[in-house]
Amino acid sequence: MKNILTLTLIVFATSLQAQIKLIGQVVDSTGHSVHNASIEVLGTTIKAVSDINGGFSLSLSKNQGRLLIKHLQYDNKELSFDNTDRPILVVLKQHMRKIDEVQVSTGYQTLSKERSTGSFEFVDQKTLEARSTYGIIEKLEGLVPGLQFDNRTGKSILNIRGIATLNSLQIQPLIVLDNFPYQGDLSNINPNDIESVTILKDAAASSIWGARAGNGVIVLTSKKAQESEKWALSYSGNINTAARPNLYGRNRISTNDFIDVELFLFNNKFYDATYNNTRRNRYVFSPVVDMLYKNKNNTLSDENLERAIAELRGVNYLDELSKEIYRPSLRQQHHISLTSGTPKLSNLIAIGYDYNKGQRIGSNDSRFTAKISNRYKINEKIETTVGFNYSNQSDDAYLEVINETYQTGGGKGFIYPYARLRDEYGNALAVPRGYNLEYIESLASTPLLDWRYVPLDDLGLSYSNGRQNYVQGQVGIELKPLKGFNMSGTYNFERQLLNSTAINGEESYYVRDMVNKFSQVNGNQIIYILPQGAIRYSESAEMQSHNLRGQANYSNMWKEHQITLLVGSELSHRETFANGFRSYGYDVKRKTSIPVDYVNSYPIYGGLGSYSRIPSGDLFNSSIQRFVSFYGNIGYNYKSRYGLSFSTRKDASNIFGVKTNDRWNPLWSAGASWTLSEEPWLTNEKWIDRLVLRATYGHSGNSGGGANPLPTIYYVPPSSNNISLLQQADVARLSNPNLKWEDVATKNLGLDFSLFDRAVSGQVQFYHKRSTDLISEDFVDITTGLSTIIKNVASIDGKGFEISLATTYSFGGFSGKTTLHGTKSRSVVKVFNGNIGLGSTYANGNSTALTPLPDKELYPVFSYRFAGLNPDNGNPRGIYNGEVSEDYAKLLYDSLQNLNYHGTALPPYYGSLIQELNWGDINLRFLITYKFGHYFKKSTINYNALFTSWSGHTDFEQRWKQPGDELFTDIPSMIYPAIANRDNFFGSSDANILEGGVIRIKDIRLSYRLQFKYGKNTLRGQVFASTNGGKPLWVQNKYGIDPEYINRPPQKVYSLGISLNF
Amino acid sequence: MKTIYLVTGLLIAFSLISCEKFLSENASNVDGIPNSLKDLRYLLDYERDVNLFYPATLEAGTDDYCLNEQGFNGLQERFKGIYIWQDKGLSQSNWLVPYRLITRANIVLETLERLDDKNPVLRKQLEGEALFLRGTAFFYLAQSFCHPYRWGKDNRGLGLVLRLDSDVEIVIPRASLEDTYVQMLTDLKNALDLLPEYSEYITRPNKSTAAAMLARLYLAIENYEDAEKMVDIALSFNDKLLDYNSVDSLAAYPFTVNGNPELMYIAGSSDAGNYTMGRNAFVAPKAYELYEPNDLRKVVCFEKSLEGVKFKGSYYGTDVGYFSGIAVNELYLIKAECLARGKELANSTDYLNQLLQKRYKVNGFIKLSFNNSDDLLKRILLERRKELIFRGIRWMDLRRLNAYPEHAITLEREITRNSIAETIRLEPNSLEYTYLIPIEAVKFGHYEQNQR
Repeated sequence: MKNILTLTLIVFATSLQAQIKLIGQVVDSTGHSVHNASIEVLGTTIKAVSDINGGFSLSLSKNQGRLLIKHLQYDNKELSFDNTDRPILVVLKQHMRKIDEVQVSTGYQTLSKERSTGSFEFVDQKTLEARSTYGIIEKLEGLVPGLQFDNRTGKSILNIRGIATLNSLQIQPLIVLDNFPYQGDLSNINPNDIESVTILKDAAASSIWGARAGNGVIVLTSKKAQESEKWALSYSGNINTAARPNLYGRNRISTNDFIDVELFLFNNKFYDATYNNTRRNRYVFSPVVDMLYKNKNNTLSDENLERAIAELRGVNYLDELSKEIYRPSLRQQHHISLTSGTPKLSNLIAIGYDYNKGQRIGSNDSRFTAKISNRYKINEKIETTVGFNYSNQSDDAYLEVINETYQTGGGKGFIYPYARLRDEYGNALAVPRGYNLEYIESLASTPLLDWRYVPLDDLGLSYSNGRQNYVQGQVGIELKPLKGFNMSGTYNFERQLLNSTAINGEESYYVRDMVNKFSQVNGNQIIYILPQGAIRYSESAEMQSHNLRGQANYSNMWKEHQITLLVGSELSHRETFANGFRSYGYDVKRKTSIPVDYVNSYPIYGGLGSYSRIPSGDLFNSSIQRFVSFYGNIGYNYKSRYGLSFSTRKDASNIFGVKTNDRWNPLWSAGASWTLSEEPWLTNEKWIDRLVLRATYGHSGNSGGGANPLPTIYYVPPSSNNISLLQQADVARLSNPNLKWEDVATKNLGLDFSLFDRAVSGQVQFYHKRSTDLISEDFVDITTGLSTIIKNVASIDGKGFEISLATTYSFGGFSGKTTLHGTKSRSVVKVFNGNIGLGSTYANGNSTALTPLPDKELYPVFSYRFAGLNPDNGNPRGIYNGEVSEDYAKLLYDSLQNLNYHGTALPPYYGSLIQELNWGDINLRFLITYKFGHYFKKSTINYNALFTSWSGHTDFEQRWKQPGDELFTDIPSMIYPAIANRDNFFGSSDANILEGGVIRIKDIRLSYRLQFKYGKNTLRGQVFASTNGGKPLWVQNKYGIDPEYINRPPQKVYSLGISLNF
Repeated sequence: MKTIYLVTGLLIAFSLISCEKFLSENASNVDGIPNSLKDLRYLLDYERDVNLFYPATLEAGTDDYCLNEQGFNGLQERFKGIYIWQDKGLSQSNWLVPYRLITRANIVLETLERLDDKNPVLRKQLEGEALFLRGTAFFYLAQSFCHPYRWGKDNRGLGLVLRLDSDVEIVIPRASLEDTYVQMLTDLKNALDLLPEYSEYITRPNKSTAAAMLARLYLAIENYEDAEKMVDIALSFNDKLLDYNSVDSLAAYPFTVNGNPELMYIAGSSDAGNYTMGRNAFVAPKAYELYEPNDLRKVVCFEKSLEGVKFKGSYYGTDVGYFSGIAVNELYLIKAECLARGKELANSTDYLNQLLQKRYKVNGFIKLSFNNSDDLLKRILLERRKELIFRGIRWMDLRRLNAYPEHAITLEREITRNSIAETIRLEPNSLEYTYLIPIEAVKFGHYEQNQR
């Protein structure tokens, strides 16, 4: 570390010996800065290259002369200067018929997007900078066609061009950072360190990644040391804030209705069995029910009861929670980078710091990242690169914090909505937890520790801390022994270490509860089995990966032929270890703990549980994953019109149980391109700048599907409620000798165009992905001892198209660019050899499982046929055997073909509109996303769940109450006793299936470009204000439910930021 | 040029690296192919499936318990059908879980054949345990899904699917009832030979366990002669009884695993808890009435509340659906019954008295004496009813004794469905005493379904 710093300092020193300085900036006609333009002082050897912001500086001996500015995509420009005090502004004009030469990276080579046959998407740094996020992947949402963010489950699951596997853990694309598959946590990556992102969509693009590329590849390229004569220092920073979270998104039943339901149940003697139960101490009752019994037993007057209930009707637990537990979040992000370079040696150093104060009280996290990249050209033939990334994340949070999903236990679920956390004098109040609160309060006179759970007093008594350190290093050597021929060797190393600690403080409810449970009380005497003091759990998880790659490249051009060739091989090794342990009687200050008896069982106080052992928490884990791969790629171009490409790859891995011969899995792809605009018969069509037709075909795969000729087992430690504490093993898989690897064959046809002097440009692509031998759990005869087994059960046909259209325009002082992305992607199961279960298997649930079924799309949405409410009693009715029926048992167990099939829950149509407007130094940008054509199930009232576990829904208000109500509501009447089947039938009937269309404004950003002069230098930068997230602009369903984020409305985030370049 | 050679050489070296060795590393510490006796030991110590596999069906249809209105209506559909003897084959687990154990036992037996391990003692024990578990699983499955088998009678009819191989691809139809019993008896008898005299843990079977299980089985199929032989073997290992006078009757869990000398092997049903353990499940009043006031079981094993009586006397020591392990009290009752049926009145009465003495308050029990074997047998069966409540035994006894008019009874359930009160009856020898094979098994395995 020290050496590198010293080295860098020396480098800066050497570049600081200028005499006269000329500085300037290169921009295009729309005002965007031009990166990588070369600036030459004519008649001298003085040269410079413009930086990311178009800035350049030249060290001159004279203060006048003539400059030649060159860039691939622009016409050359010459201009003279006679004053070096003022910065020079160079405006370049785009080539008439040349388009941006975008260099995309596949991870094995960089190639020109225009000349390649494959389907690539490229996201440049400017676009990445437009959204300020903590992670890099979030930045990509809505930016490119064919990349979908499925946000239904609370986290984003990515897919490229639909689904090509049935293993829900493998849907997501492979992520590659700086040419190697990224093995660490994505949160280690500071998005400010990323220069560009390339997305590989078809087989020609991705098959070089072989058996790991079946779901596409996202290649991240980090910023590298640039060959530049000037040192450059840049800073960017922003602050973001989001308001308190909206806790009302779950549509929970109102307090008023809830109390009415309790009165109704009490009158029906619903609580009697539990209230009069011998184990009543283990059951939680709400205050209203407690008071009703007191009233019945004449210990509470009618008047007092009514007054107390009336008072509670005005309480909403969520109001208090929002105030006491939540707060607006505040995140700040800072990033500094320093670059310098000579033709021989170039360097980059970047440091980033993020700090976030979370929305929940006590939660905050931070991230520190450091990056060094160095390139050293030893001579014309040898070049070395060294890269080093470090990241340190720290995460603090309170544990056991009461929240909107707090469950009381003791036979109930979500707490009653009139729970109070403070009384009118501001004193924190107890709420039930695990046991009957009255009983717990009656124990106050015993020598036990206070057994009440007082949520607000408990805040901060239990807390966790996680620290994650991550290092990635890469060294590479490139040899160029002959012209056009080079060889490279690269070694990449990653190590991630996560240390996390959870401490339940001595005073915390968690510890008091544990100590009390194990206490043995005899009159005033107490014997503690569990020591007092904190309970500490700590865990560490380590990941290490090593990759070694050797590759030879050859490229040559003769006459009208151009050829590029590469072959290489790679070894990769990834291992993980984890271990954890639990300590009792922990003294936080003195760092001591007390041993406890894990072996013997002890009685639980008051018969609140059966004899139990003190839970231990040892954890050990390790895994090793290895790959050996060989790959090759050849590209050929004739007359720069006709292009051909071919690539192949063979992978082998140590996936467990795989027979030797099955380890190798060869995959290949081929492609062709035809640049029509270069054809002589089109060169006269001046309005066509560029027209290219591309077609590819190839195979890629999904790793992880090896056959096992023998049954496999997995080891488990004994659970503390076992009778004997013995090491154990369970059956993992039965023998499965016929399993094959999955294969994804992709055809892609694309047309790229640019017309009218770049005013209109875009791309249309059609693809057909045929994924065969897909592995999935399949139902088997349960007599085998298993209900499912892994089999090659299905083939999926994924078809779709993508359109990107961009127009640029300017009028008056305004200029603008509108980009429209549209994707259609449907993944239909064509072949299905698996067994089909009962209808209820498919109608229940929320369609978050892939669920392959013949001729149906993945994530299918099924429902029971709903035939309205019975006008006499408000019972939901269905259709069984063609007739209206209320026999819910029959309806629930109906076979699949009698259910409604709506479609898929994964949006088949999605895309975005990106609008940019420039006026002078002001830039306005917004991004709108849309999703259409899918379905979702809305949640609704389940009376059985409401009665037994307190989880109610606002639909309760709309329920059928009297004949005639069925005309305007579908919500069934409340009956006693509740019938679980009736609720389940209604909940999964088509009355609750809605269309999922949604449009939302993802980002709005307003920025202003700055330019100051100080001394001889100019300071450039920009300030911006932006918002992202928030409620949708429009939803297709009439209830206004956001189908993308069910239960969890996304927060609107406001950001302010600045970036400066010295 | 030198560098070219060097790098080319490196590249070739890459490809020549012994890939197989590099790739043969185990992928994980947590899973693998069973490759040692230790692995098999671990498989057979998996308590959740090995000791708690017993199907709910042996308790769910009995008159040991009843549900109140709320309890019945709150049951899931698949449990409801079983509770009121109108089973539609919707509950998988009664079939799946025992078969999962059979597959586990088959994997152990197949792996033993494959392994070349030099530890004959451990080998024998593992084989014995696997056979004990497979035989027991077939035994319990047959009590749920096959018609009662009667020793020495004509036993035509369908048996179980006798899976003796873990290979999923093997498809076999249901065997005959005769073959089914031959298989389970063979497994258990072989286990008796192979198992060690003592096992290190109460969760592992030994000779006495196998003998006791065989005694239970022989009794269920009315082979009283062999039942007595087996019970004698089992009693030779342990005949200690627990005096309930020394048990804390106020304790929520009066019996502990370590403090119960009667306990010989621990096993139970976790699934049966869905029926018998709910808040709205109570001991059937008719069963509770059988206990006399000075019977200690009345206070040790039960708790009374306004809503009904709860059972707390499980020998498992925790809340489990029913205890199905081996305990000395059951052995005494088997012994007494066999002796009574063999007309050894005095001897039989002695066993019964020995047991009851430990169940009644000191001085609260007068030794019984009988002058005819019918009265004695009636009393033994009554004591069986009381002593072995919530043990999964009642269902076997009902199936066995219903064939004899003097012992046959009709079971009744009072339920309220859609606000209408109904009484549902289960007549002796009814077809409903044999459950339907789960429809999921029939659907994919194409087995012949039981009659209705």
